[in-house]
Amino acid sequence: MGYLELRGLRKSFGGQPALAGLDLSLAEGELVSLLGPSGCGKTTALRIVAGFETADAGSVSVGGRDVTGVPANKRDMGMVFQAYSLFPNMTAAQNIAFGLRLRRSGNRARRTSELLDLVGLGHLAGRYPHQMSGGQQQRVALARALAIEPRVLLLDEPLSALDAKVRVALRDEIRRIQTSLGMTTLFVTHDQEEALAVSDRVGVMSQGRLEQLDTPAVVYRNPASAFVAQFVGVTNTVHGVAEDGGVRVGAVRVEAEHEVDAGSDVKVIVRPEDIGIAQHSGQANGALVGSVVTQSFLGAVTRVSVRLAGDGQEVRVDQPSSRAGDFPVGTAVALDLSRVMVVEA
Amino acid sequence: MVAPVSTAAGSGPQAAPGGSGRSWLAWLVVVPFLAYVGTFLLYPTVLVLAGAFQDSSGGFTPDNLAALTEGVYLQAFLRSVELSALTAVLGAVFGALLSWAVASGKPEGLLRRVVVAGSGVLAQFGGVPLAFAFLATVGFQGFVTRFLRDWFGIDLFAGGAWLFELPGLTLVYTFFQIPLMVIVFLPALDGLRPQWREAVDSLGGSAWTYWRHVGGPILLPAFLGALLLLFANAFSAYATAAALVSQGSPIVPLQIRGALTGEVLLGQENLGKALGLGMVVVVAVAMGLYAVLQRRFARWQ
Amino acid sequence: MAVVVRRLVLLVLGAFFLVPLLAMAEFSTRGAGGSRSLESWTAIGSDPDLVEAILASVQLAVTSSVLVLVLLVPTMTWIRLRLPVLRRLVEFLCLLPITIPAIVLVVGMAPLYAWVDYFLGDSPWTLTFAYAVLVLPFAYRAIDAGLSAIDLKTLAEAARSLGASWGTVLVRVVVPNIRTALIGASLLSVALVLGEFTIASLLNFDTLQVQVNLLGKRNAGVSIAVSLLSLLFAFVLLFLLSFVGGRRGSSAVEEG
Repeated sequence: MGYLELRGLRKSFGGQPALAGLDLSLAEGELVSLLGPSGCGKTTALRIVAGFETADAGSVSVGGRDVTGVPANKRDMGMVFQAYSLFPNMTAAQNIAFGLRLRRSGNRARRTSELLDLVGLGHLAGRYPHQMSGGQQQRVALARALAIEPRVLLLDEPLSALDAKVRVALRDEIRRIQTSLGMTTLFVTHDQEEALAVSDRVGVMSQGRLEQLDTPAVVYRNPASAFVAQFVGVTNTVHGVAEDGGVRVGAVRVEAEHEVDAGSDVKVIVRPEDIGIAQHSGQANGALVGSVVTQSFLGAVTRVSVRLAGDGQEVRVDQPSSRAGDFPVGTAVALDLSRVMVVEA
Repeated sequence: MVAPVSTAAGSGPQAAPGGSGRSWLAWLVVVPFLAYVGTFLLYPTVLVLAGAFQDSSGGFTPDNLAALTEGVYLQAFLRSVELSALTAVLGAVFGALLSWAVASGKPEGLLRRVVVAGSGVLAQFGGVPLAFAFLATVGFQGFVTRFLRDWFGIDLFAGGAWLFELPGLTLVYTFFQIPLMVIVFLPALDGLRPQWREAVDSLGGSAWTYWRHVGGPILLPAFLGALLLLFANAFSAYATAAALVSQGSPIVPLQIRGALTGEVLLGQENLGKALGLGMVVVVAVAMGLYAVLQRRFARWQ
Repeated sequence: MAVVVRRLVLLVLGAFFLVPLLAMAEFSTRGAGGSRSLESWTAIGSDPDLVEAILASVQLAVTSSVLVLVLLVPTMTWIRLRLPVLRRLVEFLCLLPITIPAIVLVVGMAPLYAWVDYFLGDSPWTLTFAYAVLVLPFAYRAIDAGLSAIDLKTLAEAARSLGASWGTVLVRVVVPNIRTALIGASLLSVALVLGEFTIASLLNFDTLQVQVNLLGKRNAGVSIAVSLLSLLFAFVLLFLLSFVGGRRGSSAVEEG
């Protein structure tokens, strides 16, 4: 039994289903991300938890107490919005103190300055939102949500409006603060890198359902479906025909476990880093061969694009940049595919 | 998108595609506009402002302006201010309510389109047709006048010909002030972000908390600004009053009409210009404050 | 609770605005001895003075919108591209008529129009010059919004680098890209000019509103019929404008 429980949540907007029976359970102090493309229902799920939307069916409970019918302002949930949620007529400190004021709690000034320090903005207490950068505004928004000591913290794409650099810094900071406070957190994002980086577990959503819910490593290494594989991380998709215990790609047989009937068209999904590459000359001898068409330098790794001999499909292969010099454009190479996933085309 | 002034002075690579050194040619393009505005806007304006200080032979005199501080002219200014202030407050309050009722509906809905288009018509097009609208409604033979008389025996005009005096002007002015408020206040209401309401909710606040601490304070500058705009609008209005009031000149614009159509004493030919200067000063003060408040509000967007 | 208040507001204010319009319809269809008659409405077409005034106003609406667009579009475009120093000045000049009531402007225009009469004759179309001043702020705001919504500098640079002259840039690149703003500016100008009374009446020109006012003294029914008609016409114009604006808004969102 989790601390935050979502059971059988369903919701549709004007006949369009946004959530088709969502079950999710968060342990106390855990950070779970809901990851998916726009329209997959992740934001709807978050807003139902917050109490801004009412589910058509299903329930939400926190710490064993059913809060399904409780209005948003009685739920004690801290929410950080995408952007521009700070009250523009109040300073950073006043924004943070707002929830405390509503609760008439004492020591507001001390608590406010503690929170400002927690998010590293002690020196900006008197600034108005329009005088702060986007990243600073989101830090204040986080402090404001934490000020009321919520039972659950809800983050609705809080980083999506920020620059790449700020995004990474703030994402790490959110994780640090969340861990140190042991705050049960539901984090909604469409950015897979973000989700993998900060979460205890990642839930990948598609069309109102959870496709997979597991630790970042498992979601990345052992995707439960083709959708998850393709949404999380970079993948190659190569077309082929299923055989017993393998797949035929062009004239070449690739060993792979799968449950597709022999003879059907399939897609072979494989990550660029799971492909071995070696220089090759002469006959193919049953190996997957081709020639290098482009190289793109990505920093530590270089992505080598190879056009397969025969049917001309392109496959991207990641190599440490130090080794990429061995495969200049035009080089004939042989590829070795491992950890492939085979699905019906 | 705003091209900062400093880039022009630099006129380096910034000096536009194909830019040549002949900068005087570039200035030629704006000459027609400046010539036109100079002739038909600035010249008449200067004529009024300067004329306010001149006697009939063109010499300097403070008499015209001095005349404004007493008698019928002072009365007219006071009545104009009273009428404008009263209708600005009525228009602002009811217009804000109407804006709220419209803004809480669908953004692309029919109600909103109709109210916005209708407001545009009544606020900016109004004039003479509005006077006739009220003649048809509460004039001596108006629809409502007859209705009340025939069904309830109430005589709307028992207290005199109020429609053609200040009370009538107040009623008709409110009829175009409310729509103007909708036009200027609706965008401000649209500027309220739903996140603010939701943030208040998630922090444990109620609808009242939201309006008291967030929505209200954010809208206050816009509301006060609109109040000033409405005041200036009523103060400047002429057509409705001219069509409705043909006897006497209770307010400043009608005094100016009198001055223009020759109802002034000899030696006071420039009195109309002094009245005009007085109006410009009042309107400029209101609009200046309006601009300050607008800027204050824009900062929060 | 909020829903009830909202309905109440809409009901009360809706009545406040609709009753006078219904009253106009009722009043203008009164016949002899309590009967209904369209006499006032048919009289509109048979009064030569009124017809002439309507035609004059329509002509003025067209000439004034054309004049204000011809003056503003090249000037505002040029200032954004080449003379940003003048931007504040032009904005100030364009918005100035808001601060100067028409009734004051007409005081200064009276002597000016003595000259206009002398050189150009006293036909109502000379009012075009005065009316372009009146619609200046509205046209300025509409065009300014239109120009802000496009990346004028890049578009102009692209066209120039492909060999276009400044005239071509203006006519073939700028104008098509801000056409919704231009339509908006024109519709607003037309509505304002058709409703204008102050300047026309005090400079003694017979335009639509001046005739309506004059006619009201003799035959209120016809005046009320014309008033209702002109209000409805302006409403249709602005209602169409709301769709023009809406489309511009949604396309801006897509681009943004």
